[in-house]
Amino acid sequence: MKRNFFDISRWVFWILVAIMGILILPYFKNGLYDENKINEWVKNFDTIQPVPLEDTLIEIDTTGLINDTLSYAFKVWDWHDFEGKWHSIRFKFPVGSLNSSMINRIDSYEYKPLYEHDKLLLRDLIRQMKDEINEANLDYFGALEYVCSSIQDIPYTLVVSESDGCPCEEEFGTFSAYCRVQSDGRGCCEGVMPFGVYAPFEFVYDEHGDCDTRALLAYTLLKEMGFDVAVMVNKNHSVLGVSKIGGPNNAYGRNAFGKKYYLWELTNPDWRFGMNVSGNDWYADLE
Amino acid sequence: MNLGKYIFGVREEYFAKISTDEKSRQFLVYNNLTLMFFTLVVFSIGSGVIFGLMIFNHWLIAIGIGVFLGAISFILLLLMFFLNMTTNYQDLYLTMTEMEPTFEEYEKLEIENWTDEKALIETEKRKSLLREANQIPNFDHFHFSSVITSIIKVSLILIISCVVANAMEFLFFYGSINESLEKIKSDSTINVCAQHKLTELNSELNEKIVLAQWTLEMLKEDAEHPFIFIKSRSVLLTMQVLEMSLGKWKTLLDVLFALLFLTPFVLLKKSREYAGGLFLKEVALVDISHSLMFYLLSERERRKILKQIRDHYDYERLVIKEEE
Repeated sequence: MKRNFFDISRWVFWILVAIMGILILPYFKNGLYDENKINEWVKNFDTIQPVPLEDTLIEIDTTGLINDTLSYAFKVWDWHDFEGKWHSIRFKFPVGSLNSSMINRIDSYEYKPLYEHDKLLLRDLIRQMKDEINEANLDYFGALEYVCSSIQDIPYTLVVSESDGCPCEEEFGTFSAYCRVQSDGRGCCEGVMPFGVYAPFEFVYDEHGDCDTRALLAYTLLKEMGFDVAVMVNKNHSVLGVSKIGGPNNAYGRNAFGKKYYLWELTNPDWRFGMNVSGNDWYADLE
Repeated sequence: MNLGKYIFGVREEYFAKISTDEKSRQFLVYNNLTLMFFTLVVFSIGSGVIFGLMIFNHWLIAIGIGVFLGAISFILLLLMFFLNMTTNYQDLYLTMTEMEPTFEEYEKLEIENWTDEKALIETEKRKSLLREANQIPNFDHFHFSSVITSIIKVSLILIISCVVANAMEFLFFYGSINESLEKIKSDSTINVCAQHKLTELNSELNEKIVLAQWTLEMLKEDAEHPFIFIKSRSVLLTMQVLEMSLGKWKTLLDVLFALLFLTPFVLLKKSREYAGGLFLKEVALVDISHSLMFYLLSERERRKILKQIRDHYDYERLVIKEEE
């Protein structure tokens, strides 16, 4: 028994030495060294954040369930709702949608054409969100929160039309030089023509969005689901306007006919419906 | 072949009274320990050369650093091994005999007329009896100080193993590391970032720009001192590339090297082949017999002198102080 310990230890030592000897040879270590990690590290030096690869998986739909001739790509839309529950929807969109959405945006000088164009690109996302709402048996307000939380969960990114607009200092904060989703909400995208708003599909794809980009996406999703909503604006801000809910203490704006829309701030994940939105000059720009 | 005699003093004459099997087993045990010791020292010399090449890009300086690191490892490992062996030896010595009662036995005997040969025979007889008793040392004694000394010893060994592990990993993967460094050097993203001007508003971007500039600077080859081993002037950058690329495998390799360095240490501490082995027993017996032999000789001389004093002098008067 006493010899066993020596013998085992001896073998352990010499086997380890043999392993080290083998590792000096060029053939047995290829599996250990992963060069791709360096590529990931180098990406940190990118001054412009690329579209996150893990979120967007481009592939052709081979299920045969789609009757048209379009090729589809897929994107995962995931978020924590206000209760902290995790949701994840993998939806499809026609290949080339991003380009199409961008071209349409550059040619559009108001919100309506952006909504009209992109609601078709987001058809599958909207359908799946509706299915989840029905499955969870959410009420009117619950469904609103479900949709709005998916937008509010994304960190804020300032979007400006000026070509040298970033970095910059605004009255509501300092913003960095690069167009990417930053956890501190200090990302900044410049040169977004014509008036510093991304189209709904672009926002879903890249997740860069400030107040009006967010309000427009929320409007697109909710309008297609059948909610009575509006994009509310004042001289320097945009929020979502929701009809049929809200009470005397809630901030609101009106449309040209005096219809009330209660205001829902979408730029911050902590903002819930009913919290005060300042200003009394809100009006409906798209309804 | 008896390699053990060069480091641990395992001489053949210690095994004169031991069976051939046991003797060859002890040779095997100490040959192994010596080979382990030399292997670890060779690893340390190699590590010194590797770090020397990485830092100075000069063969002579690298060899000098290798020899220096090897010497440090040699001394430190030898110290660890000998500290453990000394502890084992002392335990064995104390377990095998307690000299006071042995000496007392001879006080009753008339040893003043013994010749040197008679004393030697008596010592050998005692030694044989002790050997036949075949005592096994008991290592259950615990003291807080032993915990502290063990922690210090293990820490020192782990420091050496850490240095060696990193150097050896550089050696194992230097081809891949150089490819990665070339890739970083020629990467457009990092080059574009390094050419950016520092901004006033964005400290995060500034950090990236400075890091990119520093990285490219470290990868720039000096025409007077071209790269010999790793194509980078920064050990930290190379280490980072290695860590990123190996991931969890690096941790595994570090652990394997730690295991490699700790094995002889644990072996010396825990294996009965060393702690209660015949070599240490024989060494202890030799020391015990030397003590006894010199006790007998000195006691014999003492008694002779005492007898002479008693015969020729008024002994009682010599030792009792007269009252004034």
